Amino acid sequence: MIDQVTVAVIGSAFRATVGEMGEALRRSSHSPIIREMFDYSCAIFTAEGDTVAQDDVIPALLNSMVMALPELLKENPLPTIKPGDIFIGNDPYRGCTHTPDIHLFAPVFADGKLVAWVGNLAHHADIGGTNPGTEGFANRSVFEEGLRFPYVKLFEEGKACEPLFRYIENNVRDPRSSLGDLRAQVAAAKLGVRRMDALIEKYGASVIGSAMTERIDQSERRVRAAIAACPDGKSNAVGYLDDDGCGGEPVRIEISVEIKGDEIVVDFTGTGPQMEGGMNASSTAAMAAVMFAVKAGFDADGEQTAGSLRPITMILPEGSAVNPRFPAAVSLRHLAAQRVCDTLIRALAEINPKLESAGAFVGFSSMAAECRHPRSNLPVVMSDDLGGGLGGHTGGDGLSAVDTYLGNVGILPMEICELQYPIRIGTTELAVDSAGVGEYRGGLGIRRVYEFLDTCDVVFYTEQTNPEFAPWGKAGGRPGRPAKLILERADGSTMDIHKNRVLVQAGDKLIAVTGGGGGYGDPKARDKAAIARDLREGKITAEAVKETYGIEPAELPQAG
Amino acid sequence: MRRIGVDTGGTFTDCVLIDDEARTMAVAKVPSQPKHPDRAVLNGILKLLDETGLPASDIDAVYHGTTIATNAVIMDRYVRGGFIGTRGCRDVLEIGTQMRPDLYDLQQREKSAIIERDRRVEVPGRIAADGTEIEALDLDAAKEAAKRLVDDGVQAFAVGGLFSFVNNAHESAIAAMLREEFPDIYVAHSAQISPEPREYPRFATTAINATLAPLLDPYISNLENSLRDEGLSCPLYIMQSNGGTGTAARSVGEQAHQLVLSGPAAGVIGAIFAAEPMGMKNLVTLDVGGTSADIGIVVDSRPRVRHDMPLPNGIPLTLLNLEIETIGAGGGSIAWVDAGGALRVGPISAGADPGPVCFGKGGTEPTVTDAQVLLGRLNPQGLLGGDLSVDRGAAGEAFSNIAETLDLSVEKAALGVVAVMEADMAGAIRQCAARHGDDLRDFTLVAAGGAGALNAVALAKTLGIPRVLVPKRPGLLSATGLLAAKLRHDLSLPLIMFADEPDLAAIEAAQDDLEKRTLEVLETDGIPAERRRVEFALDLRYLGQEFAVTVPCEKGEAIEKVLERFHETHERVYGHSSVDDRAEIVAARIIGWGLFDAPRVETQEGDEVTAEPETREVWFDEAGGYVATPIYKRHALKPGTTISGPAIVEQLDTTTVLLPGYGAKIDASENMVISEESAA
Repeated sequence: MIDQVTVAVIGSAFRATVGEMGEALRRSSHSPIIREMFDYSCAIFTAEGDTVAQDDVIPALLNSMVMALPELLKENPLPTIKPGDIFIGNDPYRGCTHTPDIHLFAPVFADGKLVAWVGNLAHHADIGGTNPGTEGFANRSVFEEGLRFPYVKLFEEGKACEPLFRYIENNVRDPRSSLGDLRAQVAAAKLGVRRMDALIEKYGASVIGSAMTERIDQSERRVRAAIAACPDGKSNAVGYLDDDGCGGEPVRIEISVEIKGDEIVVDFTGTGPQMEGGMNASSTAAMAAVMFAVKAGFDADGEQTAGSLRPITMILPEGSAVNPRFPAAVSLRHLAAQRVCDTLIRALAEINPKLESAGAFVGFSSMAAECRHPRSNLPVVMSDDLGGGLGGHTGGDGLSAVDTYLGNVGILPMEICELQYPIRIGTTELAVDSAGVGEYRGGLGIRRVYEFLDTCDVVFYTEQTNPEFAPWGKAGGRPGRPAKLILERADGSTMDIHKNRVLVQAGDKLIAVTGGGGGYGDPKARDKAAIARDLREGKITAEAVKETYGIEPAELPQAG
Repeated sequence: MRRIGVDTGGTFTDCVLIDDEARTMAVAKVPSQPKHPDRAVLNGILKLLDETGLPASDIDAVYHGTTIATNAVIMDRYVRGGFIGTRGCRDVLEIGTQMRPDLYDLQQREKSAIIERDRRVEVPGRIAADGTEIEALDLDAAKEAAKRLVDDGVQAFAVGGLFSFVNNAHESAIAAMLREEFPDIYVAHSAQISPEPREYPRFATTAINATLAPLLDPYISNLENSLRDEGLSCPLYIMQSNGGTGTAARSVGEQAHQLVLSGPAAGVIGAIFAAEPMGMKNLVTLDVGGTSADIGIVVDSRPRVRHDMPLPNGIPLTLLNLEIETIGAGGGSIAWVDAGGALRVGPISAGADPGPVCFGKGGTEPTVTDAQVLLGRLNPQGLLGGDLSVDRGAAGEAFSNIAETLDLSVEKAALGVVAVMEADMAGAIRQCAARHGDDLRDFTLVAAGGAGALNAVALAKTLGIPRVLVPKRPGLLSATGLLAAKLRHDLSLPLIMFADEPDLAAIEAAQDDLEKRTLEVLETDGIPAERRRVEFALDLRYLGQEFAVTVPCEKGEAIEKVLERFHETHERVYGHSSVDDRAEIVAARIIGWGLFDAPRVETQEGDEVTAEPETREVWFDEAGGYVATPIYKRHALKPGTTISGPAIVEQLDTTTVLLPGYGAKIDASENMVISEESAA
């Protein structure tokens, strides 16, 4: 048996390799989505495709490659896999997340035998399809979502498959940046293979293999121990998406969790059928949400591997919104995934007090605008995502104005927006009165006003505009206020926006107000000084203090 | 010249006095006084004067590296500030980047906004991206708001407006009004503090400056006064985050936030100073302390710099600072076995209190230092020349639990803990190098701090770094670095134009303005004309990119040339470039240097090692267990001496582990250079 020191030293080298691949990928990538928004991930796998080490940049990508490699291996028999090969895949029906996330996998050989894999995925700004940026709430099938690569060889025994590069170049909206990002991914994969070769030379393939197995077992044992520390029990929660992306009815997400000894069963039975539009969660996306809850609840400072998932059984009904049948569209899977995460946390908190908190804003209010650069007149695509409030919790108020759960993307600076796009942001402020009240209130949402200075083709979308599905209160706390998008035309007319694609003109305005987090505990129990502080800071109005806490502002203690 | 360098650290304040004429160096180490750091500084200086017998009036300059700003920021301890912004700016400080400090904690506390919302106001007034005014400023509203904030006890004002880096008319008007109405209150406005695009980092930097300056300024002026009272009327220079020094007068007010990374910067400069005489220009500096390790990278004798720095609480600070990576691995890092059975080292540290088990100050958890004592690498008879007694038996007992859990011998467990920490450090160095595409085979690893030399050779071996440099006094690298640093002043002006349609007049005007202001600064700072240098640079980026690349250039240099260099730099740094793409020029920069003579200390030639070394049992895995190992006293190793591993070299402030197969040579400046080839 391998000793734990060797496992830890090799483990540290795996971690560094994954970090080094990430630096190499980011350094030579072209698009801001990778370089500034960190939407990528690198990992090392066993020969069988189990994750051994992965970086941790965006929670949505945690363990997201674990379902891909087994699919690759199913379709590519071992004798056809050769040293120097690099496979490309992105098909959500072959274990990938959604089509813009391009996955590359490179095998690692020792003495002619496949012993490991390295891989990475990067979110590409566009991979073709109906909409600029590929993602679309109203996409009717995955055929609207750009190119799909079924794990074919981008490199064959070290030689680039040029026809494939040319084919990609010919089918995406910004080929320079797509090919540039792809080459950055190739460089990172090659670096990973070199590092793994060096480790194998130093320790030998069998020691590396044992270290991989032991690391996977370690994370499994950590998660099992944490689950076993929770009492056995069952709980259930239900959440809804506002609609199916095509104007249909709300979409039900139902999750039952059961803790039995050191295992958890997460059962999605009761979840609504797959949606007409593009917000379906591929099974990989649903699993990412489960991974988030598992890490947050059971192994916050441990590293995640394939072993972290072993104590968990997922039941994902086929044909449902969380495991749609081919060829359902899935490009906006993050909207459903955030709701899955929210619902799962609600269910799991009954069993695990670390997750005890009110609901967060999971509406993901976003826009993408095809427009012209104000100084050069060249075509550019602007995109922005707004966060909201986290829920109040047992120890305090929820965080205000943050990208929640699976997301962790930066807000577009007002100055960068106006310098790079014909769009002026008039204000970005905390949304007053948006927080759900409680003994511990939710965090506040964001109010941002965009003024269009030129014609722009804009895709807007948000979830959680429906008050029924707003961030939920808990233990007597009240729900947070839902999100609202209003398009104010230059002529003064207004329209409510949920999910729309609109050609806006100079003088039009979008007023985006995101949701506040839910409150935790009885509002009557809230510390008066805390209410007074919120009032003094203008986070709540005097009317709302009266209405929600039932207190006359004059009766509140003065600041001391 | 006789100059004194004083570096305030967490536990000790290190002081050195270098006498260039006599070519001597004197050293004093005094306990730091976290509540009154200036007292420790003064104690150290007086001790030096006492020991050298020099009168205070003989000292030509005092250089100081301080952690006071760093600590204020880490502890979130600022004065009560107020923010006055123009339209749309009130909540910029609180919303920030909208990213979460901790991704997986659903019960975390709200992050600091530096200035709370009830003390932040916004008034009408808006400048557009091109600098035109699209809404007039309501100065009366600003005055009203300011009165209310002053009544509320505000002690400093930060002022911020969108696009003030293009047109600062609104901000300047508000700042001028505040200074006139409230002459006793410190005012900082964002175009003055950090004229760079991106409102959040700019306002955050301004708010940090505004709320730090009233704390730091009295520290600096008290220190100056106390020095003067002791008869030191020489200039006082303070180390800045950018790796240069500034006069005391220029380390206060609008420059106060430049001191936030004062401490670690000096160590990197000290490493450059130590390595330069040997022609070593590419360095990885590794400074290992009790709780953390600082890694710095130097290319071509210049420390790598960056323009921004996230504070520990996630707040971005826009200021030029050395790219120093800190990881939670040090002598005090605690070893443990997690619920999955994995051996882990850190990030929790026993620190100085209770400290490692072997120090007997109440520590009960096994640390890396305990492992080094157990293995015989650190002297089990005591450290710091015997001032610190060590209990090897206790270190062994501390490891018995882990050894049992892992089913290993106590020594193997201890060795494993060291190996895990070294693997983590190697990984961090690899990542730093990968960020810029550096090839570590071209570098020298410089061991600094008390514990760097314990791990340096093993790291070099793992990383393929061909040489290790252990300076004469690794523990004093920061203090000597203070004396080797040049005076540095950075200025920039924003521009916006296409590189293929450059507005040459605008560039020239900007460079003239920067040069004039910089030379004035250097003159005021007392730098004689022949010692003033300026370096120009332009920031360029491809259209559509948000972040720019700083390209050094000559004043008035043809833009085509600069553009060519931009493509080259982009290729080198990012791995690709595109001559077909349009590029924009977005800022003009200048560095003003004040050159000082490098400190000179006596160098010696050629004695051989004199005394026969003692030996003790030290565990080397390469040798398969404990071996009788020569223990050299560093001060007995004269220039020209070569020794072979396995060996331990001990000196007051550090211990060097020389692995089997490695050799060390003492050079003329008494630095120790270790490499594989030189092993006899």
